[in-house]
Amino acid sequence: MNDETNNPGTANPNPSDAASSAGGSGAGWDTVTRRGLLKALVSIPFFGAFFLAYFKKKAVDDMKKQAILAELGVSESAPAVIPEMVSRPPSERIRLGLIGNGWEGRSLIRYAGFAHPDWIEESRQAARENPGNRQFETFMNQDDLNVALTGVCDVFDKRAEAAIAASAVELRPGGASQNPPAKRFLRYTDMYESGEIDAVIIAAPDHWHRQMTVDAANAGIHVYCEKCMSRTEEDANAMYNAVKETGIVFQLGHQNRQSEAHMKAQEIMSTDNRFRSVPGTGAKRSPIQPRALLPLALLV
Amino acid sequence: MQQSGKSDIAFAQGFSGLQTWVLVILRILVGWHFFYEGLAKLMNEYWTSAGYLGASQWWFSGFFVGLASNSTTLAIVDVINSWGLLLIGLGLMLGLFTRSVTIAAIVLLFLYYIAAPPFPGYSYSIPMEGSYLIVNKVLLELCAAFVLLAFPTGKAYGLDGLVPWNKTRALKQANA
Repeated sequence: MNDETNNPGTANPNPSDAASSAGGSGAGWDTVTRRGLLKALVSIPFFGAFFLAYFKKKAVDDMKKQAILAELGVSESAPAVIPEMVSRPPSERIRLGLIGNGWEGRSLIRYAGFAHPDWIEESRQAARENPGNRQFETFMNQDDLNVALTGVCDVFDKRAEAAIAASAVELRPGGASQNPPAKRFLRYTDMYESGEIDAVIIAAPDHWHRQMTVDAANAGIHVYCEKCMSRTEEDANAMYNAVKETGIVFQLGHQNRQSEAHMKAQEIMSTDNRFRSVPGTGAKRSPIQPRALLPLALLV
Repeated sequence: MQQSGKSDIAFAQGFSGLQTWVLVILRILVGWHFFYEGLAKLMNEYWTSAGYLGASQWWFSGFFVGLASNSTTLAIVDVINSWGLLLIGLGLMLGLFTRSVTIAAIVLLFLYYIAAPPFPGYSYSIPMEGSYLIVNKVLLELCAAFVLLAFPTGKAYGLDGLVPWNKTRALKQANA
């Protein structure tokens, strides 16, 4: 009598005895009762419901995605979440040098997380007076890029001192820590040779970009160079060759063009007739402003 | 349940019919959630835990951000996480290796919680769908997993009741 429903006598008299299980009563180890089997497989209907819902959802999601891609005429590509963008440990901190703390220079180091104390005070004040002014909030929400500003080169004392003050500023965005003040160099070549920097931000006047980039490349220092890249094609080629020969990382101040949104917008424009220039009219500009496409591209 | 119910593990532990069923349903629902979380991640070739880990706050943020900042450890974490979720979900739904997968679920949920706890003063860039103060749904699911650990139903209503090694162990206990 293996069927426990017909044989209450074999039901285990000891309620705490683990011998009883879904598969069988205490009477027989090698048997599985029908009822026990049904109980053991209780989740089967749930799996049925799960996969029914899953494939339905998947079909709907896939259709939606394909419709958006087809509408925009773009291909599917990975999102711009690059793991390397996540802050690295302090041991991998990049030491930055700055050449030229003028208008662009001070913006660039601020984007790197080093704002002058006066700027912090002013933007804070501006936010207090006008809650719509989000300059300070935007700054504080920047990621900790795990960089330190360790070298500054500027011919003007006032500007060099301002950059040094920014390098050691207490308030950093993204929970970044305070750094010791940067060292000042009167010649950028001294800064390159000092061994104090891993990468340089070149924000000097345009006619200096070639020489400073080529020298940095030869010193094995990575370069962020403000736009314009150079004044002549010859200069640009020289910079290109230096970067290629030495294998340093080079970024021109046109990084927006590599953003996912811009690339998608470009892809849309290249496949959609509405974005071609109108022949014969001399109109250089397409009827739809490319900028208007950016929010669209973000959907993909 | 009638007479036969007396031979159930769940019943033997003193659960009423309602109590047993509520526990079984809880186990299957938590399992369903894990299973789908795992499946969704495995089916999305672009999925990565980098965003979640990178946004980590509190005491352990250094550890989690460190995991995300190295592409090798990140790849390992992603594989363990998605397959872990899938297998835990499968185990809970089927009632197979119930105790082990419940403990694994507790470990995973605990890690999710301490990586990004909703403590006062912390804000996260990924918007949440509700409002949370210390207690969030991760913590609740963690608590649910502890309930499943304390009140197991895998043998009474799951494949754990069929697998031979459980029977062997039970036999030993019965003979002891």
